[in-house]
Amino acid sequence: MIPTQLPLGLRLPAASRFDNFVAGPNRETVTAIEQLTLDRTASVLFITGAAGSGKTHLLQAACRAVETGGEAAVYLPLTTFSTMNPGILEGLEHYALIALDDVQAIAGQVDWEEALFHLYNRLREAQGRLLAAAAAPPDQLNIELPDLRSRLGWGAVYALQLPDDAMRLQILALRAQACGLELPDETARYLLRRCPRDLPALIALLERLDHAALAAQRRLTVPFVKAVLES
Amino acid sequence: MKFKIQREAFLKPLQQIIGVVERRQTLPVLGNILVQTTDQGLTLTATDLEVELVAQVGLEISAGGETTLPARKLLDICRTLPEEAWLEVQVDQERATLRSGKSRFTLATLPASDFPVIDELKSVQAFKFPQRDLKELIERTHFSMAQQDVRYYLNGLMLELDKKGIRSVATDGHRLAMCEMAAKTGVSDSQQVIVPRKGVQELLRLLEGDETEVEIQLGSNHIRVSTPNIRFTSKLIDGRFPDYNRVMPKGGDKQIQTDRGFLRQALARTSILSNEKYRGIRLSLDKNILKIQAHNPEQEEAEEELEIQYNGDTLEIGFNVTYLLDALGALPGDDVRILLSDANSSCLIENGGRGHCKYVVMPMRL
Amino acid sequence: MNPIYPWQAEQWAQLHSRVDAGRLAHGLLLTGPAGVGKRDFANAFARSVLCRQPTVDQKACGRCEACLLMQAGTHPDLLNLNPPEDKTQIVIDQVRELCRSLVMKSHAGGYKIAIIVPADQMNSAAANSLLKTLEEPTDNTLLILVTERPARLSATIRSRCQQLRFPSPSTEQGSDWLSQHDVSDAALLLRLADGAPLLALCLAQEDTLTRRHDWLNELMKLRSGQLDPVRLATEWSSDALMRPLYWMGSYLMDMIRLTSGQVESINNIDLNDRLQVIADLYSPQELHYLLDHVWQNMRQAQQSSVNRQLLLEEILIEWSRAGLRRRA
Repeated sequence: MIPTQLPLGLRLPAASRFDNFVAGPNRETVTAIEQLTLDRTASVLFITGAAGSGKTHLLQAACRAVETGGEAAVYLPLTTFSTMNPGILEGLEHYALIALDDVQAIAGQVDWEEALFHLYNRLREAQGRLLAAAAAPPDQLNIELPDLRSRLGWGAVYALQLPDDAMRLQILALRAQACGLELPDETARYLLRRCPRDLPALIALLERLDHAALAAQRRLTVPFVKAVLES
Repeated sequence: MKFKIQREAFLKPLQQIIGVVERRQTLPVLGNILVQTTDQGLTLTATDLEVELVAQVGLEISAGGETTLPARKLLDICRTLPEEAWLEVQVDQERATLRSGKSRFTLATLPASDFPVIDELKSVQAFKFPQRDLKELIERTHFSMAQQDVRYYLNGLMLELDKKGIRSVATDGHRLAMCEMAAKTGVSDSQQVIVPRKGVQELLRLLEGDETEVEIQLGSNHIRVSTPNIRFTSKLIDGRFPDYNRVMPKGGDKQIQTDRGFLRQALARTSILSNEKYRGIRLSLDKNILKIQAHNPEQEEAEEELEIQYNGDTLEIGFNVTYLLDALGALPGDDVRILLSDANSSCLIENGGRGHCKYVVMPMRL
Repeated sequence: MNPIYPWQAEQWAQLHSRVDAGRLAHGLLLTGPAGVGKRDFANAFARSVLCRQPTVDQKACGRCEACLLMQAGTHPDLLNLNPPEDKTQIVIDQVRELCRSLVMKSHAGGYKIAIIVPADQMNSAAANSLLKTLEEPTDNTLLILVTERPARLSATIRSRCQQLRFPSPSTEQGSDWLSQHDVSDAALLLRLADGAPLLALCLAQEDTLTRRHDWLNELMKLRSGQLDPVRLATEWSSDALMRPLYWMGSYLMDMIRLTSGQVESINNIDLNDRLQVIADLYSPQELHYLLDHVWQNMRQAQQSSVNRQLLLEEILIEWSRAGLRRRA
C-alpha cells in the first residue's frame, strides 16, 4: 500500500455577504432584507424556502451588514439550539438584529415557543429587528402557540426560489473562488450533471474536492474529479 | 558624479545587496546596481523586480549624480583590491572610471532612469520591532511554506498584525507552523500580508540576531523592513491566506510530554531506514512508552523505544518524519508537548512552557 | 513615443472606453494578418495604461518615470513573453515564471500587464499553464495575447479572451501611410504584402523588390537545367529569413491564379508575363502540389530548427523534377 499524506483542513474564510449572493429571481427578497438591516426601527421579516435556496446565507449576510454598520447582531440556528434550554434566549433583546434560522426546529416545543414569543415582544419594545427563516411560512409550521404564529407573520413573508442550473454554476464558481480553488468551467458543468442537485450537497462536494486536491496537490480537472468521486 | 571611498566601506554594503542581483539577466540594467548621491553620502540599490535592497553609505561626495554600474564587476573589483585601499569613482556620461593606486578600470554605465525603484509605500502601517524577534518569527515558521503550489497564496509567509502583537504563519497544506510575539504594533484592526518565498529568504539573510530595532512598514502592495544598514522591500502576494485557526486542533485527549532533543535524535535515527520518497514512520503509543518504527522498500527496518510521559490509550499513527523533524528542530526550549487524538487527525506540537510557537502536522496513512 | 497607426483608431477608442467603464476583460486577444501593427498596438495600449501622465487623447506621455522604465523594458508591471532567442516556441517555464509574477501585487499600484507574442507559439503545456491565470487572474491583471493565427490557440484560451480584430487597412490608408514613409512603389508593395502596411514597409527596406527578380530568374534557370538545385540551395540557405522560400510560395500562388484565369487578383503584378511563361510549363496539379510542399516546409522551418540546406534542396529538386516529368 502506498502511504498517503492527509491534508490539513485549510479553508479560506468564506464569508456570506449580500454581494456574493447569487440573487437571480430572488432580487426582491434580497432587497427587502438589505432594507431591514438599514432600518433602525422595530420590524420583522420572515423568509421561507427549501434547503439550498439561500436562507442561511442571507441571514448571515444580514448580521454582517448590521455589524458593519456598527450595531450588534446575532445569528441563531435553532436546529443546533433546540435541544438546549430555551433560557439562552434571555437577554438577547439588546441586539439590533436577531436572525433566527430553522424556526421549524422548535415548532411544537411549547417551552421554546413561549420563550421565543417573549423574546419577540421584548425585542419590539427595544426597537430591535427580527429576521426569521424556516422551511415553510409561519402558518404552516405546526406552531402550537397561536400568538407566536401570528406575530411571526406580522411582517412580510418572502419565499425564496431554488437556483436554476445557470445560478448553480455561478454559485459554484463564487464558492470555489472564495476558497481560492480553481474550478474550470468543464469541471463545474461536470459536477452539476453528475451530482445531486441540491446546493448544500454540491458545496459539501466542492469542499471534499478542495480537500482531495490539496492532499494530492493536483488541479481540479474532470479526470481528477471523476477519480475522487469514484474512490 | 565623483566620490572617493575606502574599499571596506564599499565592499560590505555591496555584498549585502548583491544577493538579489540575478546572474543571468535578460534585462542588462537589472544586472546593475543603482548608485545615487545624497546629502549624507551614497545610496546603493539592487532589485530583481520583486525584492529591492537599498544600502546607505555615509560619505563625502565631490560631485553629485546618479547612474547604474555592473554589480558583479564592481563587487569583484572591490573584493580584489588590497585591504584598506582607496577607490576613486568618477562617472562621465556613459563611462565610469575607477582608480585605486595604479589600477584603473573603465565600466559601462546604464541610465538611472532605466532602473525601477519602489516609491514610498502607500497607506502604511509602521512600527518598530527588535530584529532578533523578527528573525525568530521567520526562522521558526518559514520551512512550512509551500513551494510552487497552485494555491499561490501558500507560497509565502503570512504575517498578521493585531493590537497585541505580530504572528507568522506558514503552511504547505500538510503541516502548519505558527509563531507569535507580543508587540506594540499600534494597529486597531488585524491586518494580514503574504510575503513571497523569495522575499522571506532574502529578509532572513539580512536580519541579525541582536536587539536593535527594525522598522516594519506594511503598505497595500509592499512590505518594507529597515535595519540600521539596509532597507528591504518586497512585493506582496495578491491573495488571501487560509483561516489558520480552523486547523488548530481543539482538544486532543492524548498528551505526550518528553525531552525535545531526545525525541528528535530518535526520530532522526529511525528515519534513516524510512522510505526515501514518502518518509513515513509509525509511532505507537502505550503507557509511558513511545515506539518509533520505519522500513523501506528494501525491507530494511529501524525500531526504537523511548520512555516518555504518557497516560492515554494506546494509539498507532503514521507521519512524514521530515515534518516532525522540522517542527522539533524549530521549536525552542528543552521540552516538547505533543497532543494527539486519533490516527486520522492532526497533531499539535508545542512547547511545554512558553507557548509562542505551534506546529500542526497531519498524519500519514501507512 | 508609441504611435498607433491611423487604421487602429477605432480599436484604440474601443479599448479605452472599456478601461474608463471599468469593463476591461482580463484577457485580450489581438488578431489579424501579419504586418498590420498588432504588437505595436499592444505595446502602445499597455504604455498608455501604465503612464502616470497620459495625454488628453489617452496616449502615453513618454516622459514620466513609468514611461522611461517602459522604454528601457524594465517596468515591473509590464511583462513581455516571447519565444526565447533562437527558439520558435514559448515554453512552460516561461509561462510559469510569468504567472508567478502576476500573483504578486503590482509595483506601481495599477495594472499588471503581460503581452504574449506570438501567442500561437506557446506549446500546449505552456498554454495549459496559462489557463489558470486566464481563468482566475488576481485583480488588475491584464493579459494581451497577440496572434495572426488564432485558430492555433486552444478553444479554452480563446473563449477566455475578449477578441479584438485588426484587419488590413484600406488600400488608400495603407498607401498614404507608406508614402509618408518615403516609399515609392507603394501600390505594388502593398499588394505584395497582402495589404499589410508594416510588411510592405519591411519589403521596401529589405530591398526585396529587386531580389525577387533574381529569385525568379534562378527558378527559371533551374527548370531549364542551367542551374543545379543543390548549388542553388546552398546560396538560398544563406538568407536568414528564408525569403526565397516565401517568394516561391507567392509565385506559385500567382501561377495558380493565372492558370485559372484570375489575372487581376495576382500579387506579383510586375512579374505577370514571366510568371505566365513558367505557369504554362506546369499542370495545375503540379502547381498545387509544389505550393503545398513549400508551405509545409515553411511551417516546419518556423516551428523547429531544421537543416535549411536540406529543406531547400528537397524543394528545389521537386521544382526541377515537376517540370521534367511533364516533358517526359
